[in-house]
Amino acid sequence: MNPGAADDPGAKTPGARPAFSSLLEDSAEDLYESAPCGYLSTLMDGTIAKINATLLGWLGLSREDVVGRKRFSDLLTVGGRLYHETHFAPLLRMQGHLGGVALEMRTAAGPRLPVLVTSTLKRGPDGEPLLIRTTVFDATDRRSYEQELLRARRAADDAREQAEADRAQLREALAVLQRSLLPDTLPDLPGVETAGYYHTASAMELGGDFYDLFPLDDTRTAFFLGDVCGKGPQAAALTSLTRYTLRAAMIQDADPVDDLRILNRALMERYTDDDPRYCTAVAGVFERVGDTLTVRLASGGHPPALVLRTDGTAEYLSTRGGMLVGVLATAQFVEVRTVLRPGDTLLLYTDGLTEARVGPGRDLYGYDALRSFAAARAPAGSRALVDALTALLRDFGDGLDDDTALLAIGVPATP
Amino acid sequence: MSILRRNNVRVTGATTGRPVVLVHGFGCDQNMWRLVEPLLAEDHPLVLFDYVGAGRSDLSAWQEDRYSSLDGYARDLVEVCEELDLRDAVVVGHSVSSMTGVLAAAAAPGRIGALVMVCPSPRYIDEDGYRGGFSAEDIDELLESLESNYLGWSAAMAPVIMGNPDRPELGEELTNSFCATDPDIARVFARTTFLSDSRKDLETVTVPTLILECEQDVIAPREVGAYVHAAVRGSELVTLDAVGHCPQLSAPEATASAIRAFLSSGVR
Amino acid sequence: MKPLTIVSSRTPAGPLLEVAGDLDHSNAHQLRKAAVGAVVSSGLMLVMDLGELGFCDSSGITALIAVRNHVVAAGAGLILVAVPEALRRLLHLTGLDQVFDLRDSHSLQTN
Repeated sequence: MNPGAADDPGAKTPGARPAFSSLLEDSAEDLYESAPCGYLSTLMDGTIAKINATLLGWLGLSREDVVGRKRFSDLLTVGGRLYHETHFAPLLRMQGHLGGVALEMRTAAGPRLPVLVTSTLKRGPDGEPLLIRTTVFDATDRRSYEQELLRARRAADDAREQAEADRAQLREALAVLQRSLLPDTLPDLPGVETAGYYHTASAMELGGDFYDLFPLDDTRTAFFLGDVCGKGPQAAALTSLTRYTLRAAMIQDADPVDDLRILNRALMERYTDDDPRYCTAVAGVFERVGDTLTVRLASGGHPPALVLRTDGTAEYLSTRGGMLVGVLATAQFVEVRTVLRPGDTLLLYTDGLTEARVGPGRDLYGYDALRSFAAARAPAGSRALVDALTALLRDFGDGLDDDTALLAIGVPATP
Repeated sequence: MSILRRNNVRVTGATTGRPVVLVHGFGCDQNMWRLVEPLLAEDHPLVLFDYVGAGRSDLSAWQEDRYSSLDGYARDLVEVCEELDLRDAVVVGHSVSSMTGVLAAAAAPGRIGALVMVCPSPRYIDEDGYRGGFSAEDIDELLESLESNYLGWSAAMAPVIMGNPDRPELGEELTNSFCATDPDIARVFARTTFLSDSRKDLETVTVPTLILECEQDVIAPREVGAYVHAAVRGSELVTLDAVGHCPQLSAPEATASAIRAFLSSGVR
Repeated sequence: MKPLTIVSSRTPAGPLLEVAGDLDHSNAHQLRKAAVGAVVSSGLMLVMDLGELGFCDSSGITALIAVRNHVVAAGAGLILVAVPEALRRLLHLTGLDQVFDLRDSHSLQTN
């Protein structure tokens, strides 16, 4: 703005306002002395040559105490002085300028004054450094803000560590719970080879597959394998209910269809119509007769069991028509019988295996592929079969996103 | 990673003559010697380097346990001497690196033939009648000071240290910030520097030694200079007419001429 | 993942729900709500057109069972129309084809 260009300088130009004219009268000297920041000039050895009233006021010192008597570093705390000597002074020498360094000054009254310091080197005509000009800002608020930030960061770090520890603890608890839903080991039975495997899709989520195998008497053994709907703690509770109900039922009554009916009733009673909880299950009993096993098994909505024969074939035991357990009071379950001779192996599995996604098209692995896989390995003992399937599951990689249970029961081939 | 790259080693100066290794102390890097360098370059091959963790060294080579004792820093110095196959070199160590030089000379006899200690102190903390000038609390305060500057001042530098290209306006100014160090690394170096005790090591020195002290130095006061002089057999003590802890910056001519005089006095 | 949409309308035989998109644990409750909202009274049929249904997991099956239970309790019936092949296989496997009335197209509902 050019005041001279105005038509009526008295009315329009800022220079005519009383406030502006008083600003014009403000002397550079007064501005230096009473500026809202501290000013300080020192010789190259740090001796203070000039200091403004603002800074003297902050420090509670008189000009006589300071000028020609103290060095800049004398105004600092000991830690600040060390920092000044090891970082500040060398940097200033090398760069000729240094800005925004956090330091603390000692005040005559005792308390420390957090400050931000900016310095520049004034050089003579030949480039020789002559003196150091320094501006000092009161950083009390900023420092407490920074300390608050630091505190918050430490609290966040602590919280994160705690969360990680909690997570590890939870994972451990889940693993223990998961193991409680499966037998520790399968019993040793004369003339029978059994093998089980459980693949957990997520360490942070309880799976809903289950299996068990236990002797009923000297010749008969009960077994079951299944899959409850859903995942997580509610599924685990359902698994637990299912496992122990089936176990109790089978000890009482060795008819697998009856056992599934008892389970069906238990689930229908426990869960209501608008929150249906169900499972698919295969339950069975095998009996040793000579060197063979006669097997009766019943299915409720579960994928069909697979038998690998000693002649190198593999076939499904159809239980079509068997219904999900826990859905309908009048549910039907379907029984099938077979005989396992030496070299034959029965495989029970959950649909994590058949519904794994494979190949570039992410197609379902499927029942045909499973039968071909099994036929290619037949005859195979229970352990060998489960090991081969475990390797297959591993090869599925991220195509396998569900829990998967395997249980194989076989008669070892006669030597 | 070769030692030369790891420690950002720079060889300059004369092609013949007695090699001089200039070693920086806590705080900055080899740039500390930039004013002295031309004054020695005519008569001596000069070797400059950054300790791992400082300047433009390879930060990925930094290991906390190695650099938590002065031996780790001395190993850097010895490895640089070995890599360049130096013999009878003069090690000029600033501040804590005076002590690093002592350790290196003992570890690699033959490679290091003389020591120049610039503002040395074997022990910063007062104890049992010894006056180092500081209390343990003072050192804690320095660590705090470092911390607050890494939060405030150096927070602005962090993007540059990390190679963040988003703020080029900082880069321009801060490429000249030789004291920019990763805060965790700086804290370890500070603790090692200010909490170690090298008084016993001074007695092991067998090579000719020059001690340079400043008239006024809050970090290494003259009392400490006298202590080092008395402890190192046959040492020479020169008091420079300078203030502060970095005479190589505040009085480069006096520093260089004292070193030249020492070397030309026929020390072997 | 295709979002689930449920369009509700009425036919002379009863309410019609056209279900499209993927049905899983994240949205299965929407299907239950829609069924409860589509008031069925005794003697009527709730028709669910699943022709545009994509993925359906066990939570989807659970929702279908809950819908069936709700409808049956009201004295009405449920018809599933145009059930996609994958779901049809799953219903066969689990024996639920005996529980649900599966039909090929809308036209049957008016018979």
